[in-house]
Amino acid sequence: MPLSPKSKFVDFIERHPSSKELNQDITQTEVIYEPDNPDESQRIRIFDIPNKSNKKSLIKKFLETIWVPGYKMRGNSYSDENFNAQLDQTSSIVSISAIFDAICTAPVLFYFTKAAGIFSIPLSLGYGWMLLIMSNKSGEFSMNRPKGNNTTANFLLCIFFLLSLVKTLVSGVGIDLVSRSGEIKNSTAKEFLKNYESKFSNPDILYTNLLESSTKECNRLVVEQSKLNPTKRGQRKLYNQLQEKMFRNNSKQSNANPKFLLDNYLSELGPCIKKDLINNLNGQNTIEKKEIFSIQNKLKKNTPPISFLYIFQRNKFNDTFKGNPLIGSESNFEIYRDSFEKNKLDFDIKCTSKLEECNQSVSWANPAMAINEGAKQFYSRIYNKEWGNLGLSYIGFLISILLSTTATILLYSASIDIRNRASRSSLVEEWREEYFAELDEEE
Amino acid sequence: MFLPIYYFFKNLKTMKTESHHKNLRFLSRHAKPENLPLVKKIIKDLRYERGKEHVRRTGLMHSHLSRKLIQKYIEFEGNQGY
Repeated sequence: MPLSPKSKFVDFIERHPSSKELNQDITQTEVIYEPDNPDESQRIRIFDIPNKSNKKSLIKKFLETIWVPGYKMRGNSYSDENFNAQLDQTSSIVSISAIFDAICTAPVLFYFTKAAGIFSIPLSLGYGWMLLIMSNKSGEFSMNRPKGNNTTANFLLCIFFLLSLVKTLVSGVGIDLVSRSGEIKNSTAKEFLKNYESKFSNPDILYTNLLESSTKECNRLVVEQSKLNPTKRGQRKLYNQLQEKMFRNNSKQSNANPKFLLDNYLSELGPCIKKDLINNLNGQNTIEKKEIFSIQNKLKKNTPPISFLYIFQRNKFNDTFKGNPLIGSESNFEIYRDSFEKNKLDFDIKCTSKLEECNQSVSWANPAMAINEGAKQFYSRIYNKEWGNLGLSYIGFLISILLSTTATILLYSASIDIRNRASRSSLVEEWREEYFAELDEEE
Repeated sequence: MFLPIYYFFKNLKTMKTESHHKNLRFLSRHAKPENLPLVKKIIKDLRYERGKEHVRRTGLMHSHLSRKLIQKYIEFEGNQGY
């Protein structure tokens, strides 16, 4: 015998997984049972019906802000199994995309809120959660797309995509800040050291230029002089004039230090005397400098850039970082101290900060700089097509792009489905109520 | 002197544990056979009434109703001339 529509409906409620709690409520319904009551209608009287199925726990409500359930993507006027499955897939991708982005952007948010001290972790988690809710809600609301009026839905879908895009752009940087934290610090230190190294390896850059111009002028005068014959009376005067021009020294301090003469009486000196003075000066310095260069090169090769910056440019180090990169290894560098101090070069291995900071490994003094440097290095590697160096952050970046794009496409295709419009239609709701009224009349 | 104590304890009675309050799960298994159809009817009525609320709240419905509603809606949209 075929089931009546009402029985079919009751059967659906009994069997459908979503009505599990409702069925539990019904079987747990308390009744007053008087089996021997002659009045049949009074034998079983309902006393209390539990209402657990209508209540949603706070934890469930919280979890739904993170993982959007499929039913939230549609209205309540209509649904079917197929459409529900499609919405479950869409909401899963939207949620996975938002959660993945939240995980990848967490380090950036953490650095962003680091100024808050002990509150930085809860604050960054709060920001991450808010971003996740914004993303999920804009996706959820973009599903409300009535036919002929798509402006709001399109706008919200754009917001969803833009939010995903912004998070995607930050996701690679976030992964980098965790997986390549030390490398980012060292690369930043290396960048700072570039200027220092060029200054150090060419300490006589002024004299080098001067030596070049003086040698050129001196050689020119020597060639000019060599064309003259001093034994001939007519050429002797010019020959002597050239000789005087080449070795002019009007400083009246012929025994002074070459460096002092070059620094204070440069215009009083002839080109050949300038050349001789510079060569003389360089000759004195060469041995010591060669030695100090080799020590410094050895240190540069064997120590990380951040330690090198700490030793040779402490002020620059303190501007950007805090902590002590040499914890426990100070004694290894102590042997070089004399060589550098003798040459009046900065060499500082002693930690002068607070004791607590001296025992900590290196961290960023300015957290915003960590984000800036992370972003700069991540995008410069992409720009320079250094795919090999991108590693995990590149994979995360690609996954984020794929998830965001897929989520947007799925949201759009689900939102234009006629079943989505039907689920939000008050007319369908009215028809459903008419159906229930028909069932009510059925015995 | 012991008389008030005697009367005090005399008035104390054991608690009546037998109750008329049962739940429907229990009744569907242990009710008298002549009352079982009554239990089933109450369960069905409750399931129907609560089921309607559930459908209104969640939008979930059986395929018979969903097919009927979507066909009607497709016809309606087709007549709108969008």
